[in-house]
Amino acid sequence: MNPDDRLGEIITALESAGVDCLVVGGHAVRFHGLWRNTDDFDLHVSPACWDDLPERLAQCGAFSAVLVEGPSWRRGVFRRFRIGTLSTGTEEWLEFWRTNHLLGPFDQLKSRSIQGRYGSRNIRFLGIGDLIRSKETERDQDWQDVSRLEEFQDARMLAKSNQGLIPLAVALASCRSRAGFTSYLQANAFSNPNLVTEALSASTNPIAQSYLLPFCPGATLAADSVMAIEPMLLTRLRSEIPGGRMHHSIVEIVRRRYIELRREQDRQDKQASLKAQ
Amino acid sequence: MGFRADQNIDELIEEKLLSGAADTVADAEEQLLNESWDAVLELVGGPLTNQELGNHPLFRLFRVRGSRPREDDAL
Repeated sequence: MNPDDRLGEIITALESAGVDCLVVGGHAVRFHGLWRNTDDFDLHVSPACWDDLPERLAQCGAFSAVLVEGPSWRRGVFRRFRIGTLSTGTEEWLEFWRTNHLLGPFDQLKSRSIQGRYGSRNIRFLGIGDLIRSKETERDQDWQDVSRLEEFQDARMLAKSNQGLIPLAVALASCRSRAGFTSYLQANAFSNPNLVTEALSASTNPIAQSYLLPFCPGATLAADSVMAIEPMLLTRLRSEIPGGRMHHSIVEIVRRRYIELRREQDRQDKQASLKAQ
Repeated sequence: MGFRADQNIDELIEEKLLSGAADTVADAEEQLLNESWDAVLELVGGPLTNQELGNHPLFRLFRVRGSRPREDDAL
């Protein structure tokens, strides 16, 4: 059985035991368009299903014979269960998050999730924005995923805006990839200063802010920005030709600072978590 | 760590390769960009115009090693 169908089998079994969950991790990355080879199954579970999770899993005929709970490096919020062994000899693990330090509460994640065909059935996955956030860790591989997922997100947001499903300002507020920026530029999406101002007031991400600011130099940035852009860079952005060389350079400088910040936050959280144990 | 804005970028990359600090040009470039914050501030706070800065080797390197452009990107 291929991993996609195996995931479908697992979700069907979990549903039969009343486990409400979203698929995160490698399978979510695959669902959103980026091929990743993965043997693990990562799930974000409703807090209501957390305490009696082993009992619920035991109820699923699919796992009970071989179910073994493994060690957790984030006790109380992360549990993993070995559910079998693949024909290659590799162990097969089901990993559950109750809360993830990079993400919001389950109900919020579920409201932004997306359901779609995967393997032989429909499955609910983490939304692409939350998936990107979940990948903002200290690991290099995760940032490689982020760079491609940002392109997919930008393309989808522009398409949704073109279809009238979301306001253009909402789409612009999340622009994070150079390919996405070029597509917006070609679609003339930055031509209305009021829309760009609206996008800037809503965007908390410094990369998106850096892309937008030269189109509306006098605009005020959101007060709850994830990271303040260095004042001299801001001054340059406010005087730069949109889409010019210097503009792209500053965006990449800001991006690198942002990645550094997110890596450090994740590293500190992991250290604190280990120390607490 | 760190370097001055007036140092030659190609020489800094070569230095990393010759010293064994980096195995490949890509590694050396990544290391250099990660150590470039002081030089970036020196340059953006300096007298160069935006156009001149956009052509500076360090700022060009940020673009080259940054988010992937579309194939039809003019820059």
